Amino acid sequence: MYALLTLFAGGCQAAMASLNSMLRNHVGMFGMSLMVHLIGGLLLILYMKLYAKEKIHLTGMPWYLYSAGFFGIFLVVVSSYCINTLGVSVFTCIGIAGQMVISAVIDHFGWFSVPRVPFDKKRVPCFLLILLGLVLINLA
Amino acid sequence: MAFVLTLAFIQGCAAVISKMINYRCTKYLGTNNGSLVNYVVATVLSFILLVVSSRFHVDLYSFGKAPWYLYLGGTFGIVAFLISMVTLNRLNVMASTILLLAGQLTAGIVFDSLVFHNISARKLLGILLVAAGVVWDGRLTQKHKQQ
Repeated sequence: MYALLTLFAGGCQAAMASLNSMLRNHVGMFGMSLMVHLIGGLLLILYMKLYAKEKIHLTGMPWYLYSAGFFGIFLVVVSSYCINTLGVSVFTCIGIAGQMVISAVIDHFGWFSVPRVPFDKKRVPCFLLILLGLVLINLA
Repeated sequence: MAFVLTLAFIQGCAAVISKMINYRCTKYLGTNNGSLVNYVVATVLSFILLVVSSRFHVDLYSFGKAPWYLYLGGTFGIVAFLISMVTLNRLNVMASTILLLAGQLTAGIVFDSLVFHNISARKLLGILLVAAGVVWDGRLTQKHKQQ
């Protein structure tokens, strides 16, 4: 049951990405980012007030953590732009490759004060397989 | 084309850093408030960028002209967020990562073939190879953690 729900959540993310890229064609990148975050934010407030009965408080963090919003804009704008040319599935594949590489690098060097996990050479064939898949996609 | 591919790759890197920042926000404010910060800051910042980039002439007409269902993106995002909160404590991280990926790719392939009409057999094979690589790597790193 939870597995199915998670599968569905992944589908929602793909749906969101394709809808955003189409919305961008109508209202531009910042208009799209505004509507996506405004609607999402209002729904989250509704959920917190009506269902979770939680107080809203947004202060009391180190200032640099507020850059979360900047990343939010960057991610929707860039993904909508890429999806227009690449399509959702190819974009997802390349994005995942990026996520895996940067995660391995961050773990290896212990950036952002995460515990250091040296890169395991056994993982090289996995990365090569992913690279092969990406090459195949881009030759198509 | 190479530019878009690089951009997509950078977007993946940025997504990881964004997740780490969001995670730290939730440590300070709790899961819901920590995520709300992202939405509030992004809304205000997008509004400023929209106004400035249009030189103070925002074309409101274009917002009305866009089909209503295109505005459902934010809704799907929140649904995905709420589901992941419910399921994360009940599934292990690797299982939920792989299930999310499978959902994304399956839906992505469906949308690509229905909406964007840009899917081919070779592309499909490539996508499967990438997915296999991710699952394989996930099993390796998980085994490593258990030892």
